Amino acid sequence: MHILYLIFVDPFVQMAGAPDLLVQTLWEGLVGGVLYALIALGFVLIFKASGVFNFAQGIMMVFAALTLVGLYEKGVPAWLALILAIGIMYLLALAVERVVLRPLVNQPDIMLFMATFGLTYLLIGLGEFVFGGNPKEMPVAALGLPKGSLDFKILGGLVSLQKIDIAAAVIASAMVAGLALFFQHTRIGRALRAVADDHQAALSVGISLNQIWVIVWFTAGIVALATGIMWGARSDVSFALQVISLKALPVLILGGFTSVPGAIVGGLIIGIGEKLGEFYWGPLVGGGIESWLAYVLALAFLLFKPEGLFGEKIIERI
Amino acid sequence: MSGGEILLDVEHVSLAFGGVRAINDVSFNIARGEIRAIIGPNGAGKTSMLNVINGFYHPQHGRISFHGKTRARMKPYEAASQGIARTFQNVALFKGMTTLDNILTGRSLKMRRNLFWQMLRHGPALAEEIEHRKFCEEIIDFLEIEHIRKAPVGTLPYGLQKRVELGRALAMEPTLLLLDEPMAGMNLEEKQDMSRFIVDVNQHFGTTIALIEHDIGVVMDLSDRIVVLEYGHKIADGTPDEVKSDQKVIDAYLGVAH
Amino acid sequence: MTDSPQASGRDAVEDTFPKLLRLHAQARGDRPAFRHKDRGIWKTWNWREVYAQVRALAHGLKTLGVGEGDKVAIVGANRPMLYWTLTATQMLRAVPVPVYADAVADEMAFVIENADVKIAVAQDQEQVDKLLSIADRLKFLSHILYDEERGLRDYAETNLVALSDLAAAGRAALGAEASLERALDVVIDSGRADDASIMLYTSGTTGRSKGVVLSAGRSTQAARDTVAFDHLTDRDEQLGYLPLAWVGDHYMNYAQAFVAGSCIACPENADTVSQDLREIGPTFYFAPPRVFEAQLTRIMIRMEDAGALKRKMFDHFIAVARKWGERILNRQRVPLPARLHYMLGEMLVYGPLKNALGFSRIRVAYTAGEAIGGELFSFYRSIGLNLKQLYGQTEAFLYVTAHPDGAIRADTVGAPAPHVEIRIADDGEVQFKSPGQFVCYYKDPEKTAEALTPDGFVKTGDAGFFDDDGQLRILDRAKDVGKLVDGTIFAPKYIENKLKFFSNIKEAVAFGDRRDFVTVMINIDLTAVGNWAERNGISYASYQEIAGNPRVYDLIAGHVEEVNRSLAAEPRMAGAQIRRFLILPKELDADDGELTRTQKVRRGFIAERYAPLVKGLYDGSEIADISTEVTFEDGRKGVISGRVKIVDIGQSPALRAGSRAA
Repeated sequence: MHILYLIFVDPFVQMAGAPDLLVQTLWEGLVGGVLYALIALGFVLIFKASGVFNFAQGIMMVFAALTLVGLYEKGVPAWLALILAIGIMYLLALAVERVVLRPLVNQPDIMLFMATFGLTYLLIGLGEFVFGGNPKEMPVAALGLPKGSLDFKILGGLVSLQKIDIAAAVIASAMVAGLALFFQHTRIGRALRAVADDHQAALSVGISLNQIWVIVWFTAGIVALATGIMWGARSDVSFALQVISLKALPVLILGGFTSVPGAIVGGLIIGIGEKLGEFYWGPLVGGGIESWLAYVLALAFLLFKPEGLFGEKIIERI
Repeated sequence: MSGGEILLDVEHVSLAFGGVRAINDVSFNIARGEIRAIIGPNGAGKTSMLNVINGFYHPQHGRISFHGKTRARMKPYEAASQGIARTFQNVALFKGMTTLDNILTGRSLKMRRNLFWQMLRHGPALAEEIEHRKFCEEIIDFLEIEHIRKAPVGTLPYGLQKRVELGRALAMEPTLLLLDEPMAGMNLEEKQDMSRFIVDVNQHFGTTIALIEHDIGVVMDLSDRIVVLEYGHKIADGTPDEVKSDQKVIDAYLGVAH
Repeated sequence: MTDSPQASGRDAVEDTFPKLLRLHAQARGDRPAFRHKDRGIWKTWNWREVYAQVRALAHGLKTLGVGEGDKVAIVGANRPMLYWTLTATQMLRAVPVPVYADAVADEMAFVIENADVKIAVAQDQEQVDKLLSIADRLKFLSHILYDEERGLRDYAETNLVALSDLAAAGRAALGAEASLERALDVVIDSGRADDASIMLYTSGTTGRSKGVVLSAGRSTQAARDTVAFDHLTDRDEQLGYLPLAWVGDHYMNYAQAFVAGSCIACPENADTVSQDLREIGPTFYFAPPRVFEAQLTRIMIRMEDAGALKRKMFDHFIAVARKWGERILNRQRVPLPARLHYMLGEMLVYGPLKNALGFSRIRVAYTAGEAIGGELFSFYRSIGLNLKQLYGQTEAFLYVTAHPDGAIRADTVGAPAPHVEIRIADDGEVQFKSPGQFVCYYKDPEKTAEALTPDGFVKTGDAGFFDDDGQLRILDRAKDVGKLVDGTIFAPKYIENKLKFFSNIKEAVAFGDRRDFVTVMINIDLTAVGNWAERNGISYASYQEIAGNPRVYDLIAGHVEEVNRSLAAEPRMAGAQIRRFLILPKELDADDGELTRTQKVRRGFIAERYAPLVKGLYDGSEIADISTEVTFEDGRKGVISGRVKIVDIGQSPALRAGSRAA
């Protein structure tokens, strides 16, 4: 009976007993979730527009952040490093379209998937070769991002919000809003939706698939860069970060592979869920829930709702 | 009309997939301003021919000249930007988008304003958007589909989807319009509407039309000239009357219950 | 609420519509008068603009030779330009003659010829083509005017003029010479109450249609009465979507708007009416019962496809509305918890539902033309739509009776409208005298005399009676009410209406006069039955096929049995239960003459046309063969033939009153 009490009652007693801690935990989960959502978002964009299951999405995030930091360490001013990093993401998009997508168009999906595997290791190798393998610190101040924390005395305790986390949440929201505007109101946004819907028809009205692919990969690259900066500001920038990027997979399974809202909701659920799990249920199993809870959730979804919360039933494509 | 200027010239085109020959040394032309039908039994290579014309397929042999310019390989979007629009046998619409958005995609090549303004719906981009919207509204009015303007096309009945698809093609202001079985699966009334639209497009906008259609009655009524394909070969080419009385055609196609 | 012009002064100065228009241009020039959705955008004209436009058109018409007493036909859908041409015609003291836009060329030729029309105004190419096809028969017709230019540029006919050109020329001429403006003012002022204001051709349930002449003074007076009755003002808005040639549109939209100064919105086209309704959100609304019925059917179908939770919520709150809604609408005493429960329902179900239907802003809604099913009527009232019935006729310029607010019941058509005198003749026929009463049938003194009693009452041809509350109940057409061989009263429409309440049944035609028992022919509603078939995995290729499906027969048989149960509950009707029925293999259609243009069934014609089926209904056979001609949309004819099954239905024992009625 005691174990049942510990699982089903005690955590909630704790939550009610110390609401400030609960708020703090929820906030941290939220920030983590927002960043997961961004990674998943880049993934969904590419999957929708080109049907490619982009294994390299996580690495693109690390690579982008590494490029920025590496250039900065080599003496390039932060703002210029940022612009150059964006430029490099554009070159990457061009290269992927030319070298990977164009030759492999009309090949089975698994071929493209394997190609993104190759891309992953190419980026790791390239990043280590150019910038070295040791962890680097994100130049938060030089990039104009805030430091320190905001403390609130509420709910009978102290809730402390890191300014960088607030910035992350704001930037992520702005990005999502920007992407939504882009999709709804621009010619290219409409073209993107068209391509996602029906390739052949899109071609017939004069939409160039190649151009769309470059735009999508570039957009995904920018999202990756933003995510990389935010993660990097919270810890160091190194290829160890790619572990985090793997969290995109459970997020996608939850949200559905083709749904932008799904990516966002899925990200938030995973982010908040794993923080709550770690804090309130973690002690029961000796901690470490954070590293596997997302996968268990994803497994449950695969069993009961494989198309995800918002997705279409196309998961057999993977 | 068949004596007019040649808009599209197909010369000795052959197309094969692996070992299968879909089109075998076919030549014909389309004169500016005419309605040209391509008919033939199933598997005769009609759709393949359209796919060659708008750049989906690249023929192994032969040449195609459009507007007097000969090209070896052309991409679909190049074909589109040169004024070739098309519809598909099995309706290829953007199912998640509304009728209006579908038709607006037909304006893709005509929109030029920069992204930033488009996102903010402001400045010159707004004016441009309004102008294109106006154009699309004229098409909506023309095709009498006002009532489904905001409906996601995936939910529409088949006949209306075909009409929306025609609208999207018209939004491109094409010089050459390729219609792949525009009346397949339609009832009598819908066929009559569609025929009327095709004739109107041809007469009022001067659009040249090439169409594939199985309903022989419709084809004979609508077209100025007909080319008949069978197993990838051209077996006849001429006015409806000439084609109707051609023995090879009668044997191959008209004689067969279809 | 702002002022309503001279609410119901019985001797107002503005006794013609052009005078009313002038008044509004001065008194509320900036208020919206007309709206129209074109190319996806709502355009609005205020009263001042409309007045200027109508004057321009009037001058243009004058230059084409239109003068006092001339007839101008107007053919087309509800377009501002056509309404304006109508007023412009009246401005010249000429007489507009609206013609049903869906009339085939022959019907059109009859009206235009009969009315001695001089100029015909058409909406578009379709109508122009029709007019041109009959032009050589019409000796008086000098010009054809048109609104929409599309497709008409290349026409060679020289007497074909665009309304926009005519108006432009008129405007230019008026602007150039002040004397012309003054001349026009003189014509407007010279308009008199006894000028013929309009000629409306009756739909002709029997025989050829007749031109009902209505006078300007009586029309404006009648409209004044009802505007006051329903408190309409220049803040009101209505959707003009009913045929221009029908008295309902001319009265409800045109006449009342011109009296009240309210705004008429014209839909984009016939197919977009439901969307336009939602976008405009009218405050005053009129629809025949079949429109309300079709909407209810659509709601029910949507709910059947909805998720379980949504459906449960809907069912729950609709039950609450059924119990309390009408009482709340009638401002009766309702316990507080029920009131709160209803308010929650308003928030969750009725409000969104009304919004989806475009009913959110409606203050007053009317239905008329046919009896409305009690359940249907109560449904709309229970969700808070102030739906009322009226009983009217073209000969009365619409209103004979109407429900006053607060005294509304589904089974009556209301009390006499303001200043209307009603009496029931010895044979049960309803007779009336009304402010808007028609002057005569055009060129037909004989028919005019037939329609009137020696002391000046109009015979309606409807059988009815006043109930204890002084409200009128209409039974049926007087001549249609018959008797079975055993003497039981047989009111076919009464039975048909009960059947038509079921969403699966679109039309019903009952037979029984001088017969041994009652039988019906049924037209299924393809939308509802098709949806039902889809859910039940029944596939079909044609209307004929689904109409003959045995399971569809079972479905309909269930409905017929229920109607029998409800008939059995009424002492006078228990003997007239349905004994046998069949489902028609084709939809009844106005183009085939089976329905009138206002969609009423023509029982006699149907009995003749489907004689083998009627014979089958009464000779006990289980199958009858039928072969009948149909008209396709393009006017071509074809033949539908097939076998039709006939089914026997059990009779319910006559019950005491109080059991559930269908």
